[in-house]
Amino acid sequence: MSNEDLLPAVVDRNKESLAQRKARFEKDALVFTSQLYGAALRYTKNPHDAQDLVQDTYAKAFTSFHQFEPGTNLKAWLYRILTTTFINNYRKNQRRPQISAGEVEDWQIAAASSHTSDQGKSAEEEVLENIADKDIKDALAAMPEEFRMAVYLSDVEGFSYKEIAEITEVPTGTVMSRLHRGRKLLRTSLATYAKDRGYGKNSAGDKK
Amino acid sequence: MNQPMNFISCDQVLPNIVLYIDHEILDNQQLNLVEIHFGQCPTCRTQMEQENATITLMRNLLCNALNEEAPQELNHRIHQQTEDLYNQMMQVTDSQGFTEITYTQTTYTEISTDGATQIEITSEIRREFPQE
Repeated sequence: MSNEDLLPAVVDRNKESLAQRKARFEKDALVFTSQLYGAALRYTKNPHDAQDLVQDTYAKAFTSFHQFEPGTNLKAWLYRILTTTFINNYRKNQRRPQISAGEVEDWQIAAASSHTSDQGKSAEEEVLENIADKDIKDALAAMPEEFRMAVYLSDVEGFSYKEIAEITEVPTGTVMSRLHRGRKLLRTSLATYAKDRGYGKNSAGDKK
Repeated sequence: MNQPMNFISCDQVLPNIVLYIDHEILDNQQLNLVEIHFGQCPTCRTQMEQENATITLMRNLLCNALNEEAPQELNHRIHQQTEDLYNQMMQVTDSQGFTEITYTQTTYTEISTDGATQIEITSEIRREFPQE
């Protein structure tokens, strides 16, 4: 699970000219535009802002690239800048959902409860397989930002809890809690979409 | 109850199921105990497998649905921006580790504190790109 293998050999930043730094930036950092764009779409929810956000991220990344320590995780570093940029410049234009203070405890209680009788999972899976891409995007976009980004960074981008904690500047325990609840929220929400669209086997008489 | 050293109960395993699936049990001894438990307890193992199947399915659904590519236009803008910033930095960089860069209407102030990256946006006027 390491993108780190792809990172360049360690260079001595102090002996590097600006031209060399620029070349290194173009070679190493500019390969992540599509991934950052995906994350920016999850944050901003519209292509126009997402493009601006990615561009701003790269402006800051380039002007502070001398502070990036070669050999460490460049992708996570860029995501960190993207997140900070979003919070500082973009989020004030969006509604910020509240999350309950007891979220970690809730998660611990839920996780520690006895064997769940979560039956019929294969039926649920069957239903989920038929869901449209657009429904998935909509369901994710409708989730509170904290949960949406935890799920996205983990399940799409493959970041570890620790990396997500660094990117979003919260403790690892909070990441865990958000991811766990975010996945649940998304599943519930997708099941509802599927039901409404009549994908489920026993959707006939329930509700429209 | 007298239990062998390598035994942990279902109650101790359950909170670890998601961590196990996410490869987030970082302590090897703990990981061993959980795996031994899965070998001995079909109920926990089944629950883990079901949970794993669902998480994997959701991951695949998400990855397939969210495979956006950055538009060419954006890639082009970023390349151009890097050129522009580079040219400006060639002019303004001083030797004290303190650099101020103005990019069109946005001003970034970089502060270098013991290696940590801090960027302050001193002006929040958004750039404007030519439409068409």
